Amino acid sequence: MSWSVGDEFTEKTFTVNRSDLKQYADASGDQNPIHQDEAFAQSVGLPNVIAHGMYTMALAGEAIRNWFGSEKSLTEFSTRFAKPVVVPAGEDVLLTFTGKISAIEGDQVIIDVTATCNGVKVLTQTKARVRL
Amino acid sequence: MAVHGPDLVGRRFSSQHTRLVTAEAISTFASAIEADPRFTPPTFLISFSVAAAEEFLPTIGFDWARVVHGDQRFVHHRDVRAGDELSYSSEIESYKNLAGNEFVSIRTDFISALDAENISSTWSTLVFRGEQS
Repeated sequence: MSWSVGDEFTEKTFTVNRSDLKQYADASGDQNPIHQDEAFAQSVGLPNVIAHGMYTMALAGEAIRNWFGSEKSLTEFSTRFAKPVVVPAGEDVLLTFTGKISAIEGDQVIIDVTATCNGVKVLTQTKARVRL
Repeated sequence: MAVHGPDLVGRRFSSQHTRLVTAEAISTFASAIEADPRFTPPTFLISFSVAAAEEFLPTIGFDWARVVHGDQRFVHHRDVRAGDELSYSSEIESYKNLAGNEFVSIRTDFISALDAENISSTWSTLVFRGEQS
């Protein structure tokens, strides 16, 4: 497969619910209760339980590997967590990723990624360098 | 809440022990993000670096209950593999207090305990939200 600057990728959507957050908490060791306990989240001024920012970033990484192949290495990967992903009880929240190649340097491709939840950009300045 | 200042910049903290990366830890992490468990996810090391920060920062007065993640960057010199034994050390690279919210940026370097190869570095900005926000 050969790539060109400007190539865009088919959008990739993940559904996220409370049990996904519990599974991510157990796998990552990040048991901060703001990601699991609604009363606690509200007691520290949050609207509701929010997803781990790193869970959203991990899914962005997975979208990228979905586009290029799971065996490909991301040699650099960065993002800013712009808005929280609110996950109400009993709901499946949709996280949608799109990507576009912004540069090609030798055997490495640089991709810009967008991440939206209910039309709101939850990540900004999301970039990855993929070794082909 | 303790008051912090720019003198935090340059503070270092380290893992007390090396940590072995197991195939199980990689596949458990991969499963949680719907990934192919045969390949290490690019964000896998976050569990090590955040755990180190979670141990250290509360000892100097940061309230872990008020933390949110501001930004994150990974640079991987090679993929982390099952069987890797990692030592890691962190340094506070910047500190800002903006309208009562504290922004702490931490770099963590991951080194192979076997051959001292620098495998990865991560940069995390953690935001400790002030009481008003």
